[in-house]
Amino acid sequence: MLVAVSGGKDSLALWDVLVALGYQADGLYIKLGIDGGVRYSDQSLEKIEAFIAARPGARLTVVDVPQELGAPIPLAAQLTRRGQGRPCSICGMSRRHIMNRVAHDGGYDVLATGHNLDDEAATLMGNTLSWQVGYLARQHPVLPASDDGLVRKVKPFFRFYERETAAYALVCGIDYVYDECPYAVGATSIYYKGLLNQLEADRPGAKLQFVLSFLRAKEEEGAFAQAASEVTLKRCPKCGQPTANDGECTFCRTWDRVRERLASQTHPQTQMEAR
Amino acid sequence: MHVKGAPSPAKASAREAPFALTEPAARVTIFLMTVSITFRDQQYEVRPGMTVRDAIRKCGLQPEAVLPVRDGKLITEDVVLKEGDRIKLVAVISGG
Repeated sequence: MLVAVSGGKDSLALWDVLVALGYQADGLYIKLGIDGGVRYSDQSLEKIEAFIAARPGARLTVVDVPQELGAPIPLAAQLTRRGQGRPCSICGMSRRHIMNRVAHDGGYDVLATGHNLDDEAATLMGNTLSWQVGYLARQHPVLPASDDGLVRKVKPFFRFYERETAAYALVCGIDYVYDECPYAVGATSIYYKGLLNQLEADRPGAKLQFVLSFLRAKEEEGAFAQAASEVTLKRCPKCGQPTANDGECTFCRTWDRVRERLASQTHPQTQMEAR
Repeated sequence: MHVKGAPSPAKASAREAPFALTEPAARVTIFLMTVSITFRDQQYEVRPGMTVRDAIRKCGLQPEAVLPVRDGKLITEDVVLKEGDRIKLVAVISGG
C-alpha cells in the first residue's frame, strides 16, 4: 500500500494507524516547492523525516516537483492560466497525476489518502452547490482500480472528523505541520468547512449525516450512476497515464506549457530570433 | 475578553488594587488573574470559571475548528478554566 503524506495531521495519523495495524504502508511525499515565507515544503518534509526516523522500516518516496518538472507549483501557476494564478488547481491536478503514476509504476495495490469527514463534506458541499454531476459521481471513499491504469484509491479516515484526527495526532505525539498551506488562505473549501462547522455546532452529527446519506443515495438508489458510466478514459500518448482528453493528458499539456514559458523567459533573445 | 493590540484590561487589572486599607502596614497587593488563550498569533483573555467551550465562543472562534491544549496536553471542552490557565488553541482546519 502507498500512503500519500503531506506532513499534515491527517496523512501522518493515517500512516501511523496503518503501520500500527500491520500494513506494509510506504509513504509518498510530493515536494511542491512552496515556501510562502514559512519554508512550507521544507518544513513538511522535515516533519515526515522525523516521523519515519521514529518508525524503522517505514519507507518514503519523495517526488521533487521543481526538480522533476522544471518549476515549483506557485511559479507554474503564474506561467499558466490554469486556476487564474492561484496554485491550488495546478497543484491538485499534478498531485493526483503523480500519486497515480508512482502507485502504478511501483506496483502498489492501493493508494491511501488522509481525507477526513470534513474534507469529504466540504467537497460534497462545493460540488452540490454547483451541481458538478461528474465530480459527484466520482466522489467515494473507495475508487476501484481500472484497466485504464487508475490504481485503487481509498480514504480510510472518511468517517473521522477533522478534529478527531488532529486529536489523535496530538495524543500520540505526532509532530505535524500546524500551518495550512500558505496558498490555501481564502480557499473555497476552507470557507465551506467553516459553514459546515456552524451547522455542526447547531446540529451535532450533521456533517456525518450529509456525507453518509449522499453515499447511501449513490449505492442504494443509483444517484449519479449515469454520469459515472459516461466517462471513457484513454491513454495519454506521452506519459501513458489515463485521461479523459483526446490526445495528451492535462498534466502533460500544462507542464509542457510551463516549461515553454519558462524557457522563453530565460532566453527571450533566442525565442525572438527563432520567430 | 481582550484581543492583543488593543488596550489591555488584563494589564490594568494586574496593577496594584486601587483601594486603601486602614492600616498602611497591612496593605496588600491583589492580582486579578485571568485565563490566557492563544490562537495562532492572536491572544485573548477571559475570566476563569467558564468552560473551555464557552471561552472559545467568547473569543469569537468555532469550538469545532480548534483543539484546546493546556500544559502541552489536550483537554476536553467541558473543563472549567482556572485562574492563571494558559490555553493554546490548535487549528484543526486544513486543506485548500
